Amino acid sequence: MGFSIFFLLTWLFCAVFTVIKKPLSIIENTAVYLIILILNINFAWIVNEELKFVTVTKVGIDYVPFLMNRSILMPLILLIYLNFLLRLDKTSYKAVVLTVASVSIMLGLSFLATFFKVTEYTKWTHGYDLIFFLVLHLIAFYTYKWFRQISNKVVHDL
Amino acid sequence: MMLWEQFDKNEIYILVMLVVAYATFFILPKKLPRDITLLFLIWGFSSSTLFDFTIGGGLMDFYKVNDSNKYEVTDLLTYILFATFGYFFVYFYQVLRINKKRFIPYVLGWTAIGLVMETVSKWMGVTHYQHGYILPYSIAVFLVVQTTTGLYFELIKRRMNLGK
Repeated sequence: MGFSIFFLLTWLFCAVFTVIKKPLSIIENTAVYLIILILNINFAWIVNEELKFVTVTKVGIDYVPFLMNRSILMPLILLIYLNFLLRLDKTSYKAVVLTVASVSIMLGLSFLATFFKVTEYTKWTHGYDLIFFLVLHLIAFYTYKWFRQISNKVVHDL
Repeated sequence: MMLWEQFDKNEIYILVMLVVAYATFFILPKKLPRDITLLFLIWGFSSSTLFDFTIGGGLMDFYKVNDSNKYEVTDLLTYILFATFGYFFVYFYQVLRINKKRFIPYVLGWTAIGLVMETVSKWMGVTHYQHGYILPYSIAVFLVVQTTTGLYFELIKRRMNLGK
């Protein structure tokens, strides 16, 4: 069941990302995705395999949702968040609502993963997840700013 | 995270390769804009990270990088080394003016280079296969990574109006 739910959600977020208006350029979108991917993979490895704070299932079909969540869903949710955020006219309460919604979705996925026994928290809590997700949001935003700064200095003619 | 389990030939090999790869990166005349250069360095780093932590660790665990299954600083240096290969792939793609006709030989050429490099890495103790993994399986990994890199670079060129 976990596999089907996570597959559906992965498809859904891919589809949402495909159809939304994207103020970020293809380079910015890719850079944010890859930076978040690298951080998320490393963080998951350190927490799960090195510190053993979280136990990941050893059942093949249940392991796939872990991979989908780690490598596709998390970076993609942050991309969707950033693209929506940058469509707002100016910083407002909508930005806060958007951030809360995005973090809540990520937390919801963590709950789903524990519910379907994809992961089991031994010395880890959803409170730590919350902190990590907030930090990821900040990193995603500043990665975008960094790339925008570099891209603005570049003239794309060879 | 530890520095390394034992400082021996695999660490020396990684450090030498890092110097050679980044010296080449800085010496080669710049042919790509800064943002694309940086993007493909990140691309190389993330491709190696994704595969190492997906098929080289976790449930599949088909190979061990460096001295142990634990995360070492040398592992991180290995991914930093791989970053340059992402860049070199698109750099020479641009320099050699790869088009539809040359795409397949170009990817096959890089796959051959990848296999040679991986054989050397095996000799130098950087990669250790386990659970039935053998070198020819890496052909699939190289073909997937390099084909997606090439196709993605084509997309970037079209979107960013990069010259041929």
